[in-house]
Amino acid sequence: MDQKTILEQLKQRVVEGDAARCAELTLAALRGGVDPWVILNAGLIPGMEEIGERFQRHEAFVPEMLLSARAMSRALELLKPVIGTSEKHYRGKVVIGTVKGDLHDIGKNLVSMMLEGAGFQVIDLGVDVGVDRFLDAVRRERPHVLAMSALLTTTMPVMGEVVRALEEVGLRGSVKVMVGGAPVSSRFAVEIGADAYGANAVEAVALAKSFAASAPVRGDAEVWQNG
Amino acid sequence: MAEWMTPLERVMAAARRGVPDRVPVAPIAYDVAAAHAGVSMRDFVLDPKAMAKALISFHRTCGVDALFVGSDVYYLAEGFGAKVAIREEHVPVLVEPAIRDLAQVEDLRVPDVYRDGRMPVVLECIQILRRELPEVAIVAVAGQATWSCALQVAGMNQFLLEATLVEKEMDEARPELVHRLLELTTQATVSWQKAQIEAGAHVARIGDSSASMNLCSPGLYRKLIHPYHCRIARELKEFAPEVPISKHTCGDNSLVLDLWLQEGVDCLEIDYQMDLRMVKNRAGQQVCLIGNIDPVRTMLQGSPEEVKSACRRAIDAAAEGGGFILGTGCVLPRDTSAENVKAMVAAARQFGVYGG
Repeated sequence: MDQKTILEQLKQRVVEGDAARCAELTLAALRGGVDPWVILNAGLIPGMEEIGERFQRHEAFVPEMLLSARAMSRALELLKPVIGTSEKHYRGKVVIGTVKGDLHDIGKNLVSMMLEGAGFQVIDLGVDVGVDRFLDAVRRERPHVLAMSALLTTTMPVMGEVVRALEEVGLRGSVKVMVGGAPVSSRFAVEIGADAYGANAVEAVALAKSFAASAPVRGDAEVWQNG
Repeated sequence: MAEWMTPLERVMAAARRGVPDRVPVAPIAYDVAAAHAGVSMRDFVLDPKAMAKALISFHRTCGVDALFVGSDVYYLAEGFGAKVAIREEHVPVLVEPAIRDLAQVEDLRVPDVYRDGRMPVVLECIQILRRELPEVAIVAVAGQATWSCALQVAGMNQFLLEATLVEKEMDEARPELVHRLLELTTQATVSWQKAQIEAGAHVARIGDSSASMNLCSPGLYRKLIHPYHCRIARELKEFAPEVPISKHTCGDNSLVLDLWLQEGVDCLEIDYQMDLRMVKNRAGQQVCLIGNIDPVRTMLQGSPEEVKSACRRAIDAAAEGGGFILGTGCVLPRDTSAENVKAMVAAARQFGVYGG
């Protein structure tokens, strides 16, 4: 199989969510000498973009996205040892978590996987994340974007507390804050001083892309060039 | 014209697709009732007398026609062995599924709904409400039906993935395990609803919040959820033909509305994300519609005037010909004001009276 065929098939298998075939093709591509970044950029990411577009058109749903994201992740596990953790090829960096008191993780996980699938480096803090842990992660990781999820009306206010805490320690200007979750709205996002609201995983990815693209170039993290 | 039906008669008339004296009002209220009554969350969750006290007070203060018993959606999952944390001032949260791997489904047994977890609290609360408020409709707690219960028992990510593999007939699929769990949660749903009917609930429920197109797909719904919901409705009708069954699911489910209409339920609880007029047009008088005021943007964040105008729009969209109950799209947030709930009742009295 030539490189073009492998990449085309890889894209197709990501769209279908066939994790086993995705892994096989990724290994085959690596053995065939295909650059791992090409595998990512020209095979896996276009597959995720395709499933995202289908989702927007209501032709695919969360289960399909989940399968695709899982197939993508399995391929990514094989690529990571080869591409290392160098930040410079990533589109950008995102710290993500579900806020304190809230144990819902499916929406957050999906956003997390879709972001990885779009070429972001994702630091996933998990669920039940308090203000201090968000703050520490922003300080340590210097992400372009902080993404927070809340599925309960009772936990939504934590998002506002995090934004205020970022302001207090002088980190607010260094990071874009985006929020999501069933009870959250763009009005709420504005009220708490967040930068944006994403109604679903595809919107969240689009927002992160625009934030990363408009971010100033940093010494240690160039802006993604190939997207 | 004076109101001439009791709340119970009004709700039952609408639930049976008939025309009551006016549109009945039945927002889904759990912890908000406790908050208004000054009952601590822990007592509301664990003590049937405290739960009943809060609900009785909610009815007397706000004038709603039906009360939804229960405090959360984990009754059955807890009975299966999922870990639920009870907190002092917060609704219970699910902290751990009952099983780590679907292969463990063989170790699960259907809960004893009269003894396990907090289900006895609900059953006793229903009995108290029947004694204390004989003229108010009591709606069973879902807590939760087939699909949502399976997600809670086996872990949401894991089970959604396993079910999707089955739906797509992929190599890694384990259809016998997926169906085994759905079979168990379906049996549990039926026996939980039967127990609540025996205790005195007037309306049974197939509450499957997550069987939603916000989380599933039409294909998955048709193959792995719809057949089980049909069966629950059939078995409950055989058990108690006179008890209406109400189906609750969150989100926008326009894509599976036609399947819903084939399931044999009497009422559909319509979430705020769906267009009520569209649903009424498609469903006609086949089912009673319950909904669909936005619990957060209108009920929590809106003024009483905004609540009234949203209620008027809902009544305009779906009350014609009967078979409509003014309700909320989902559970009322805890901090919803009594004024906003009263505004729903006021709107029903002002705009929802049926002509003679």
